[in-house]
Amino acid sequence: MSQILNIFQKDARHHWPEVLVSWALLAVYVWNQPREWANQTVDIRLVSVLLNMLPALMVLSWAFLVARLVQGESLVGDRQFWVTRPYVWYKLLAAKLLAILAFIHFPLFISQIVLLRLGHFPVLSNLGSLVEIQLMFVLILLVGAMALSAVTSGIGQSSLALLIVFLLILGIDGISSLIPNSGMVDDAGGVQVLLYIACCTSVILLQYIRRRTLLSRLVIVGTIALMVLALALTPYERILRHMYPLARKDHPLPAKLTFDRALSFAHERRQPGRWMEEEISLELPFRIADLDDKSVVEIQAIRLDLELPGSRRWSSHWHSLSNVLAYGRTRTWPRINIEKKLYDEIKDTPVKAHVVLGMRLFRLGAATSVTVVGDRASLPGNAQCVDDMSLNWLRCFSALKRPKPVLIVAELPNAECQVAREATAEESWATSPATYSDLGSDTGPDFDLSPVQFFSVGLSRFYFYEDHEIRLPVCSGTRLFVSKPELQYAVRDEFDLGEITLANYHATYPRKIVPPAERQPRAPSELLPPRPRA
Amino acid sequence: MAPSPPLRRVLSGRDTLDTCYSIAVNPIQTEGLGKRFGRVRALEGLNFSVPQGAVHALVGPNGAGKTTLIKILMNIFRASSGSACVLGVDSKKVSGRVFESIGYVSENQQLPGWMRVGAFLAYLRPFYPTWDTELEGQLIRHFDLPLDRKLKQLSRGMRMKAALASALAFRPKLIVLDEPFSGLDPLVRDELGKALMERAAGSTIFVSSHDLAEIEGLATYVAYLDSGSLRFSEDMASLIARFREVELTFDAPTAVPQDLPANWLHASAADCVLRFVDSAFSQDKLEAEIARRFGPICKAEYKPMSLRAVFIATAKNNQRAR
Repeated sequence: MSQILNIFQKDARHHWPEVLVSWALLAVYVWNQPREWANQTVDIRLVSVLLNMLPALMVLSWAFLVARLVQGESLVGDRQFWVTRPYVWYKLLAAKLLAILAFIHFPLFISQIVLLRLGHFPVLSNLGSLVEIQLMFVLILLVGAMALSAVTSGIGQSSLALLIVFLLILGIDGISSLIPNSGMVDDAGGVQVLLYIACCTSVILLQYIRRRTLLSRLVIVGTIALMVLALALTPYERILRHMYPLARKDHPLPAKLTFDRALSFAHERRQPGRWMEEEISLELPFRIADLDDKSVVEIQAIRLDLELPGSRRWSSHWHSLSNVLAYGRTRTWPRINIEKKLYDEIKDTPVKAHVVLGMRLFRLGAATSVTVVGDRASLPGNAQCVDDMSLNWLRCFSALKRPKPVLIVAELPNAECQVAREATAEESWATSPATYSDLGSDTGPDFDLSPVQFFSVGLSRFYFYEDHEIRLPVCSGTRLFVSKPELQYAVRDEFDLGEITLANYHATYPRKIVPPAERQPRAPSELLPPRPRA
Repeated sequence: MAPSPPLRRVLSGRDTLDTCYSIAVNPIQTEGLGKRFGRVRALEGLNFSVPQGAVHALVGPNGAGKTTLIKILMNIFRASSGSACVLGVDSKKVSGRVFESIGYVSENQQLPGWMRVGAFLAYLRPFYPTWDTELEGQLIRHFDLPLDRKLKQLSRGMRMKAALASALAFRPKLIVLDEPFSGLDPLVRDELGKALMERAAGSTIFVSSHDLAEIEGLATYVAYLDSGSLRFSEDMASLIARFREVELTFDAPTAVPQDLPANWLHASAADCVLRFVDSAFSQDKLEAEIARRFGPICKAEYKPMSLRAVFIATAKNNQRAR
C-alpha cells in the first residue's frame, strides 16, 4: 500500500496543473448546467462557443491527464529509470487507477451529486445509477485512453495515435455504410464493444506486466482487423429475418396493413431538380385496420424490392424507421430512399414492387392522468416538465435516464388550448389524438456527463391522410394520459404491391395527395385566433 | 548465494528457481546467452559468471553487445537463446522486489527531470527496505549534490552522481553500471570511482565500459566482449600475468616466421628484432619454444602489459581473424 501511495503522491505533486485544469472545466460545467436547463444563453459569442464545447474539452482534459499519469512511468522504451527500481506492476497500476479515481472520477461523481441536488432530484435513490455511469466512463473512455497511453511514449505520440484511431473509426463507419443491413443489427455493435474492452484491458495488462509494446500494438491492430471482419462477416439478412419472424399463431400480426392504391402524390408543376440530391424519398400509403386500443405498433424496419425492366432486380436492403401506430390511426406512410439515378430512370415506368415491414408490438398498461398546472407538469418516472410555449413542447428533466418506453396521449387541440389558425387552414385533423412516444428500451442510466437528462415532449397530431403532423401547444389544465408500453414481440409482414409507378409516391412541395381530402367540420378550438407567442 | 526471502517470494516458476538457485553461487551467471535483433546477432553463446564480491568489468569496443547483455540481465531485453541468472533469479523474472537488491545506473537512463534531487531521493526511499539514510547523507555530501535543483537542470556529471547516490544508498547486493563514466571529465570519473569503491564495499559490482583506463584501477575481474562473443573472462591479476610483450633480439636481421603459435599475436620483425604479444605467457614454456624455433638468441625481453595494451592487442587480433 505504501508503494501505491508513494507513487500517487508523486503523481499528485507532478500533475497538479493538469488536475486543476480538469477540475476548473468541471466547475464551469456544473455552473453552466442550470443555466442551460433554464435556456439561458451567454451574449458573448466566444464564451457561448466555449460553453458548448465544454463536454468535449472535459473529455480531452481527462484523456490528457490519463496520458500524463500513465506516461509518468512510461511503459514504452527501455531507458526509463523506474524499470530497474522495485516497482511492483500491480501496485504501479493500482497507483495510476487511484490517481484516475481521485482526480477524475471522484470529482465527476461529486459534481453529478451537486447537479442532481440543483435539479431537485433525490441523490440517495440514484447513487447506484451514478456508480453505473462512472463504470461506463471507465469502460468506454478511460480504458481506451489508458490503453493508448500505455503503448505510446509521449503526448505527441498519444495525440497521433488518437488521430489514427479517430480516422479508423471513420473508416470502419464508412465500411459499415457500404455493407447492406449493417446499420440495422445492434448485436454486431455489441461484439464491437466487447472486442474494444477486451483489447484495451489486455493491452493495459500486457504493458504493465510485461512491457511488450510491439505485441500490444499488434493486439490493437489485430482487434481493429477483427472488428472489420466481424462487421463484414455478420449475416445481417439472416439476423434480421430472425429478429422479425413471420407471424404465427401465437404471435399474430398486430394490425392489418394494406397498400392503398387509391392514394398518390400529385405534382403540380415540374419540380426544379436538386442536382446535389443523391437519393429520392418515397412514401408508400398503407391503410391500418384491426389495431387494438391497448396496442401500440412500431414499424421499425422496411425493405423495398423492385423488379426492373429487363429482368433486373433492385433491393433497398433493410432500413430503419420509426412509425408509431397507436389508438385511432388509420393510415401510415413508411418512407424509403432510392438512388436518384435509378429513380430518374424508372420513375414513370410501372415496376413490380415488394415491401417487407419489420414491426414491434407493445401492450399498453394502465394510463396515468397528468394535468399541466400553470406551465409545469410532473410525468411518471420523476420527470419534471416546463411548457416551452415558443416551441410547442414540454421541456422535461429527469434523473439519469429519460422515462422510456412511454406513450403520452392528449385530446388536443381543445377548447382551452388554442392553436394557431394558420396551422389548420388547409386540412382537417385525422381521427387519432395528439401523441408523443419514445419506445426505446429501458436499459439503465443514460451515458452522459450530466445526471440530469433533458428531453422534449412534443404532442403531435396528424392531418387527415396521416402523412404529416404538427406539434400542438400544451396549456394549463391539459390532461396528459401517460402509459408505459410493454414490448410483446416482433414480426414482419410482406406485401406484394403489384405494379406501381414510383413518381406517384415521391412527395414534392407543396405536398398534394390525390384524391384531395374532404374538409371536415372544424372543432371550435380550431377557429380561435392565433395564440400570442411568448 | 541463496536468494533472500523476498526474492524467493517473487519467484513463481519453480523450475527456473531450482535451475538458477543451483547454479547461483555467483550473483551473475549466464549459459549460452544469445540475442538477435532481427537478422543482427547482438550476442552469441555467452557463458560467464561474476563472482561474489568482485568488481567485474565488461569491456569491449562500441557495439560489442555490452549494453545488450546488461539489459538482458536487468530484464529490459529478453534473451533470444540461453539463460541468465541474476542473484539467483532467472533474468526473465528480474523485476519488482528483485530490484531491492540491485543498484543499476546507466549513461542513457531517463531520470524524472522534473524532480528535485532531494525529492527524487525521498521518493525512492520507501521503495527500499534497506535504504540507509546515513549513507544517503554521506553520498549527498560526498557528491555535493544540490538537493533543491531539478534533475533536468543538472550537468551530466551531476546527474550521474545523483543516479549513483540513489543506486548506492540502499546498500544493494549487486551494482550494475552501464558505461557510467562515459562523457564525464576525469575529475568526476575519479570522484565517482572512489565513491563506488568506498561506499559499495561488500557489494558485487558489474561495470561495463569501452574505456579501459577508467576501470583499470577498479576491476578485480574483467571480461572482454567483441561482436557479441566473449573473448575472455578472468580475474585481472591472471589476465595481466597472461599477457606479455615479447621482444627477441637476434644477431642477424630476421623475418616473421611462418606457423607461429596461436598465442603469439601481432608478430612483427624490424632488422634484428622480432616482436609479438604472448597471450598465454609462461616464461619456461616461452623460452623452450623460442629455443626450439630459433636456437640461441642474443636477448629476450618480456614486458608486462597494461590492460589497455591487452585490450588493443586482443581487439586487433579479433579484427584480423574476421
